[in-house]
Amino acid sequence: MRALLATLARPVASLRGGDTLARAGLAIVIVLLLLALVGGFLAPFDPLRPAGAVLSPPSRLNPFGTDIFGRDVLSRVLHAFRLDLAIAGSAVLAATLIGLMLGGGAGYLGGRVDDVFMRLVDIVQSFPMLILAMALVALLGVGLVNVVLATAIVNIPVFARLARSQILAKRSLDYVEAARCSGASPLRILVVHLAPNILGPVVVQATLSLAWAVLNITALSFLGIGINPPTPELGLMIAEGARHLVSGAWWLSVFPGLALALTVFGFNLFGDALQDRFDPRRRGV
Amino acid sequence: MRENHAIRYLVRRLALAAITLVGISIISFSAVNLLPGDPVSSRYPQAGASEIAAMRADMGLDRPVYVQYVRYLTALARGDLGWSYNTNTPVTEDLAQRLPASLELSIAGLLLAIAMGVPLGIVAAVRHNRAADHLARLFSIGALSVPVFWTGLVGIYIFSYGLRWAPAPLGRLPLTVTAPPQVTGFIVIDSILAGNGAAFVAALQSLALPAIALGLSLVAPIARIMRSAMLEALQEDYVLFARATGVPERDVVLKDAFRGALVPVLTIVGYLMGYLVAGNALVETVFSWPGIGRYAVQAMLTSDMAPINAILLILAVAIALTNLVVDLAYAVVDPRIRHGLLGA
Repeated sequence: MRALLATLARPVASLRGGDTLARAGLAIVIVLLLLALVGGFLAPFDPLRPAGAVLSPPSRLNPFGTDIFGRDVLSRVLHAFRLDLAIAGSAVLAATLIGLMLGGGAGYLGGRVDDVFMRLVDIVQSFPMLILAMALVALLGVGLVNVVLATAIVNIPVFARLARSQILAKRSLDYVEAARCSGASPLRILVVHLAPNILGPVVVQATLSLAWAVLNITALSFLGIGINPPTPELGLMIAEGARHLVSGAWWLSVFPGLALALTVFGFNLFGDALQDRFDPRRRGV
Repeated sequence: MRENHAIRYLVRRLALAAITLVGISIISFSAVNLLPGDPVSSRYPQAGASEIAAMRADMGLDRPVYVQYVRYLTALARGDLGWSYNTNTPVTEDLAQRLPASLELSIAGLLLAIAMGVPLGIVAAVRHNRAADHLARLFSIGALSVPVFWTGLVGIYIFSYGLRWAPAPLGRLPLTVTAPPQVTGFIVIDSILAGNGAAFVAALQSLALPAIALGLSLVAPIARIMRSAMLEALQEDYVLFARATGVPERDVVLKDAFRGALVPVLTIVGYLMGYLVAGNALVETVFSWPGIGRYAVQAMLTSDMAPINAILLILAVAIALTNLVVDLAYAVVDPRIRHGLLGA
């Protein structure tokens, strides 16, 4: 466990080097995570009940204005952001674990298993991710669980491919040989010896996938193939606001969109910076 | 020996592509036929059990799965993608009718993205780790992070509702403008061919906002690959040689290094297609653009199976074939692959 934490802490610690962009990304991510934890308590109003006049522009009482039912947009944004982050987080976590097991197993076993597995990954990756997620939700039915499921499924191949390539590169290193000679089972070698050592790139990928997943989930809901109203959800709020743009009520779409963009931006910035740390080729020559 | 390697690589790559295509057809077949949700009872909720059974028999849904799969393949071979319940038209006709609109938007968006992304990537590489590099990176990460449907809406609010520079987001031409006779299907080109200046200007105005929104969503991947390809190319011996012989730095960057950098850029074309298609679905929905993306979204919203299936299949096949062509082109260009050094 301590080795695991150290692996995670190393790239973050190395950010002290002075990369302002990376630190900004880290700061945004920390603030976002805190907001996701306590945001619900900060919300001044109930996100599902009227809290003022209908469609009132931003004011001291309702800093982000109110929507067509008089609900406080700020409170809704805070709840929606938390929901989107929770959906994206659980989907990416599931995809990471399943991808690691499948890809790691295939890479470690090699041979036929690996060949068949890689073909499967190729096939799934031929489908554009958003379109595949759309079709999955459309076929399984809209709703929270199926959105998580579809987002997880389309993200598995990336992690499987990553785990496989990492395991392939490391499975013949001396410490793995030593473990094998001392009689460790393949499962033990994978979990105890290999997994902690491939964690860095996996964390980078998870950060970037999280950013992508948030965009994907809100896009699904925006199109009406995701979360159902009246749940506060960012994509849904932007879609509802779109109908009132022509009457000048810009705050309905603009504030949820800004919250969404900032969230994705923070994770992308942080992930991008981490990637530079881990990939010497990308760090420049 | 060399030809041997090249042929082995070619055969192997073609075999892999064939396997992928079969797999794609199985997935898109099973997506529609094996997942929960029965096409008959979801389409006709009031139908009785005997009627449902009759309809299922009529559609061949009571046959074994492999029989259904073979029938699906034979229909595909005839170019039959089924009928859309929404439009009551063969899916192939629906798609053909909407293709020009999507292509016009995609090409305009892609051109804008290249016009922004390529210079950004080059500047970032030349000014590596300096302010310009960081700014370029900030811009492309920003463009990647702002949802394309939101960019579109904000654009509509500012330029069409506020400033009135752009027409209302209602498709390819305002209702008041008569479309030019269809020749290429691209309204911008057709209006030039017809000598219809008013339609040309109107079409460009309608195209501008959706194309910019789509283009912005594609800048990041292009800028990123351009930057890393240029960084690598600038380290190559031929660049060092060009510099040593006194070629001006400008020419070294824009001629020698740029040409070398284009090869790795090729590899993301398939990946870029995925981005483009997803962006299209969202942008077309926001701007009521009468293309395939909006058609796909409509089909998904109403569980219209045949179009969903057809679109999944066509996209996956297109991307798999693009990746095949890119790999083969890459093998022709890169001598290391041609000679079997990186073949496996």
